[in-house]
Amino acid sequence: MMVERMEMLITLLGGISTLAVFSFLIKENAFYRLFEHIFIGISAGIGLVVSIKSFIWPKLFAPLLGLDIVTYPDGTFSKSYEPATLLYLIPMLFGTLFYFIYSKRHSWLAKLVIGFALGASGGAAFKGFFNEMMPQLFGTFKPLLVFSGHQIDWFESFSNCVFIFTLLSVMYYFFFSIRSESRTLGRVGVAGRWLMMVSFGAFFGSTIMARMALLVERLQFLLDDWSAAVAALFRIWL
Amino acid sequence: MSLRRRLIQIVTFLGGIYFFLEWLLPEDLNGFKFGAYHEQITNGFVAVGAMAIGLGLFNLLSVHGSVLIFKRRGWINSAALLVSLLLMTLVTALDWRATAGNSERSGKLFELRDFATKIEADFKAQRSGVPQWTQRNLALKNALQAELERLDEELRTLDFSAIGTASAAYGLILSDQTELQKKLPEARALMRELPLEETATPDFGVNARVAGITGELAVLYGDLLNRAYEFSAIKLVYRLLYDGLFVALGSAMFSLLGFYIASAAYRAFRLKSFESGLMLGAALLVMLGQIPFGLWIWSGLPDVRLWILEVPNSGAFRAIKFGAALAGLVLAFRMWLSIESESFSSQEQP
Repeated sequence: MMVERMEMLITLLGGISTLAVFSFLIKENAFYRLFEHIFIGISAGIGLVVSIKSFIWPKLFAPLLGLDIVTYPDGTFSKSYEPATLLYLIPMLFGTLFYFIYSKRHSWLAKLVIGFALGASGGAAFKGFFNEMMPQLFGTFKPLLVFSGHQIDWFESFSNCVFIFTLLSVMYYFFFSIRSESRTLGRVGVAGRWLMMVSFGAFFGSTIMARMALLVERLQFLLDDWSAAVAALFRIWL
Repeated sequence: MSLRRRLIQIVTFLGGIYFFLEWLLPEDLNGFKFGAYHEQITNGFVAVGAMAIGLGLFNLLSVHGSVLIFKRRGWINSAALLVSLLLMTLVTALDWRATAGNSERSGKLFELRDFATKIEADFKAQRSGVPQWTQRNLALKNALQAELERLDEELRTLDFSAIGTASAAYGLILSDQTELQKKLPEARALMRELPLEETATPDFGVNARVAGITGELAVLYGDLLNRAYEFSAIKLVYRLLYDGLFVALGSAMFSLLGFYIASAAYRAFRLKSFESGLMLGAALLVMLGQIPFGLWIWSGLPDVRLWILEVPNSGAFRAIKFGAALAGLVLAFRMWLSIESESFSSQEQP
């Protein structure tokens, strides 16, 4: 019984939260602002614990304190303590420099650690770029003539030609540094702009459908689950 | 250039040098493996960032705490934020503690399973500094016996009727409980067969079977505990906050954009030029290709939608992505060498 009541309460609260957010469509109001603040508080609370639970504890503190070592019934251990894990204390101590950001006199110390983080992301960007872009670059070299057995697959060949022409013409459109007076190249640039418009339209259409799917889900929740929970609540009262 | 500024630039450079070299250098450098401790080093980098976790919390507490203390405009909202923050932190932490406790309870059996296989592995590897295999088997037998007795006692005293005897979850829990009770005698029988006599060529077949049944018991026990935990008071309060507020508010916020995107679509899709016509046509085909109404108009529309998304859309976005990624790489390089962030490394306040 208690579980059922709790489920009903969850649904009721979900409906009130949804209505609070939708009330923004009329105008910004106190009801919306209250739930907006609650959302920020809840998100920050979850984020804090989840980051400790999923990273800081298992990757840093548990190996540091040797809590990931199992003692077997005969007194032996699953693994020996790795003293090198104590080295984690160095980056952890260095990371505490972030908090000097609140000091007017020593704020430059916070810049050290922020700079370190910026440098690390800059260094990691090289690997990220080549790991992400190279497979895409190789994947771009599609055959212009596709064979299916001994016959030409005209549709696949046409699709590949359109793909490569789109890619090259859009790239050409963005090469502002190389401008040619050639009318043919000028037309390639225009074609690139048109194909980009097709692409933006397709992207916009997909985005609208994704948002609409979320909206429909919320409206279905309000009409089916929430209205049933409200009716059940009235039945309990009456 | 001041010393502080130079120091910031050096530290920025040092921050990026490992990842740059890890990417640049070959895996094996005349026997020296540069990325041998990659995971540990990456964890160290993340540890630096992880220390900043309190910054956001500190900012939220100081900004909203001062609004609340001095009762400035909107203090009720700040109070709601702080209460929800503290409540969610507390409930999520309690949920973590409870799930960790459940894992620990079923984890004892997993430890014994690992120990049963480790005895054989250590014997074959002739590991020194460990007791004789017969003593280890005896220790395993005693520990397993104690654990099975504890489990048997727990299974006899557990009462899940508060969940509601008519619910599907109750049925699943009972099924887990019955399955566990069935497996207990089998595990006890196998445990008694563990060899304890010293022989030159010991047979570890029983150890493997003990490990197998102990692993099965651990999985079943873990499932039972997790299913029962779903109906505990902490989990229900957690779900009230998570499903009732976090999920509902998040979905509603994103779906709210559906309304705004509809009004943006009206402005974007007005047929003013040939280019806007292309955009309108592509968007219409993609939208119609995704809904049953489009299929009703023409059965080929989903294929047209897919072709637009996979061919021209993919080609155009790949071209844009190439340009953006190249620009990102140049920016990263400038950032790493402190060319981009002159004002950052200067003496001004961040």
